[in-house]
Amino acid sequence: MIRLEDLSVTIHGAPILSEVSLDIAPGKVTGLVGESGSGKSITALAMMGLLPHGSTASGHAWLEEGDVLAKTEREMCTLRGNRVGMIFQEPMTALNPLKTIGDQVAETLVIHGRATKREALEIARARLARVGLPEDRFPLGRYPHELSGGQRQRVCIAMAVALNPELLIADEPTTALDVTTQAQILDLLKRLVAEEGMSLLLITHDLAVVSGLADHVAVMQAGRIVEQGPTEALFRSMAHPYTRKLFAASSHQPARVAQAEDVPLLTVENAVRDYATARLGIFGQPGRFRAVNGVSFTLRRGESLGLVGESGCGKSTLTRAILGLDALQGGAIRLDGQEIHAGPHLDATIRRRMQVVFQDPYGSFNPRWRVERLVAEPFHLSPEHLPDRRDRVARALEDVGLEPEAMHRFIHEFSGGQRQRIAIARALITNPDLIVLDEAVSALDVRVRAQILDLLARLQEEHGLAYLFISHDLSVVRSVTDRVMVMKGGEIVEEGPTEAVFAAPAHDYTKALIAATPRIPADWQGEQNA
Amino acid sequence: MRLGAQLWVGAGLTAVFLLAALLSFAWTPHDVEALNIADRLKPMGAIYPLGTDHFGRDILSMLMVGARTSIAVALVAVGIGIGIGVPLGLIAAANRGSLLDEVVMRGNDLIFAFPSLVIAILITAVFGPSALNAILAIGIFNIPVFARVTRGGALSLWTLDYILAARVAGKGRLRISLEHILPNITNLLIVQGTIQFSLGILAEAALSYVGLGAQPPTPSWGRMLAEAQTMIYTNPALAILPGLAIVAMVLGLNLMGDGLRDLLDPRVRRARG
Repeated sequence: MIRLEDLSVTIHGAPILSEVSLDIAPGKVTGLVGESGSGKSITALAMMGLLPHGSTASGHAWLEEGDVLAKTEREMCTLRGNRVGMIFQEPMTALNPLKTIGDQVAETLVIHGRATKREALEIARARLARVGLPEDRFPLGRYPHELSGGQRQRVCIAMAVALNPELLIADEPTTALDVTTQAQILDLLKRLVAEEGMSLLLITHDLAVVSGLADHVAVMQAGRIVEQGPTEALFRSMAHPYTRKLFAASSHQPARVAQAEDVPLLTVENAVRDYATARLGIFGQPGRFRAVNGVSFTLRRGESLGLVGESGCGKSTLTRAILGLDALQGGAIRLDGQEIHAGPHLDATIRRRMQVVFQDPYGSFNPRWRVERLVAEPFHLSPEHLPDRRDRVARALEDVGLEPEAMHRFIHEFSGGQRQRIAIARALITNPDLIVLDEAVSALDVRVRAQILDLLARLQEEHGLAYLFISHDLSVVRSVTDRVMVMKGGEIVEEGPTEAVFAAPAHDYTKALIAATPRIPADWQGEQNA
Repeated sequence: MRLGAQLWVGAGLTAVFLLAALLSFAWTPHDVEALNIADRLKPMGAIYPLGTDHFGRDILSMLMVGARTSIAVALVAVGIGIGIGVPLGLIAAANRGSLLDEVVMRGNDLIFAFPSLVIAILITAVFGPSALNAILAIGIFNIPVFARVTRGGALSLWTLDYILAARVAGKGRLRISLEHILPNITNLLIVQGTIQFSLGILAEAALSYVGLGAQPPTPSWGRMLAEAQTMIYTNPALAILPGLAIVAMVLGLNLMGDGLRDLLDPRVRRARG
């Protein structure tokens, strides 16, 4: 179908891809796995002739018509969308918010002169039904903002397959989606490939996703394909050390001992949080949306408690209330018996005992401050000026495995994993009892994630920390928590010791979540562990 | 235009006028207030590099002192806009959705609703024409511009995690606004500042042109234009020179503003490669 032959790309002289050779067989799913920065997306963009400015490519990308790299922009335009379709990671921004979904799907057909406007809309209708958006519930006149993330990704897929392309490139198509939605989208892609005889190039960092979907897998590291082969054989043999490392990291289990004391640290009692929604009409009352509905739980000293749920389930709202950022409408949250009130009047001693690490290592720091000031920010609460401020920052940085000299640098000089370490240092600096980890490892590559999880386990042991671990990633929660709570629709539907909940989920929703999590078949891993 | 070139041309033009204005405090080729009817309407030459006007005053000297007037008026007017508008914008953003936010922003809308130059003319007409009143009139209309730019920039910053982290650290809104928000919107403010500066120069010229800016004998570009218009067919240079000065100064500032925006905005810088 498409054959890459010694494809090399440099951007402004820096080598990005070197001698990538890859065969994408018709009617098959090819998985391209690697960490961020390994060149996966550039490979896809090169196939589409969409390389960024300043890049030079050598080698060949053979399509039936000849070498894609040798084609002019005009020729590529007829190829894109027509023979090769593409879907992206972020369904929220991949659609034009001002056009209806019908128009957007029909557009591809009209541009390529395959149909008149009227015919195109009919085909769009059929295509949308094909990807699971039937006419009666999703008329063509819907706008993107009326759809959920998973539904938007379906629209993107409908657009990409509108012209029956021979090749569909899916660049991290489910990374931004919840597990249950991810399972549905992957299922849809699988069906499309099987029924339409299309080839699919699935680009992802998630080995488990690839193992369940791909026929052929290529593992990429630093712009090179280090290993490729049929999926099962590759997983069984794992000839290249990098593949083994990736694999080990993705199922990494940090060594940790349960050290929870039987002393309650954080208690949440019947927490209720309402939001005002849009007014219905000019004179209508604003509606109420109950994001957190009567949530109660206790987090013990030194315990790791997981909070699992999909986006919109209320876990972020609950976190903000616990951190004293938003006020509750009912119930109470207490840290060591002291009630947490939202707002600036929250007692400094409570604040100091509770810290947070956020998901996005890029948005978590003021870009104009040096690391020393960033890490020391929570000291703001200390009444007296601390003479040993610099020493404490140095110690916190050493604690998280960074050189103390890092304090003189700016945040943009650090990688995502290092930034997350700095975020943890910032949380540690006040010697807190509780650190809230709000999707703290979700944005990291598997290997970096494994390192951060190890770090968190070590810090917990050394400092007797309690963690509230909030995540949508079940496998991560399973590996680092003592107890887990499952949240849905603002309520906690299931709670219990982590292993017990995962081994025998009682609530249907928990069962659905666990079933939807992609997993590498257990028997494929035998040869590694032997 | 290449990123560097735009900035340097703009900065160069601006620097020429700034230096001329500074120099005029210490030295001008001729006294701008001395009338010398014998030398009236001289063409460009060795003694009078750009010629003289109908009172025999040296055009070059008048342009230099006029630059001083224009720059001073525009600078103070921008200062008023930043000094009042930025705090208002920061307050509005920090209290988003509150009554305070509404009051500030609707107050801005109110000022925006008036045609600025007409109100400026009204103010100077009521309180008497002078450079000070011109400054006030132009400055008032800079306030909502800066308040809006500040609020817009600040609102997007308020959603970022590092602001949340600062709140978790127990910092209040005022402190976050000063420590985190303000430094991160300086780019926006610098760019808007240069644009408002150029608009201020235009506004000053317009007010002076209708006789409501700096009063004679203080030279001003706008009034030079007004005085030259009766002689536009006989001595076109008298109108062209101050006109060119205005155009060049405004162009320089706008180019510099664009250049600065590109230089200071890491996203644009990266996109250009």
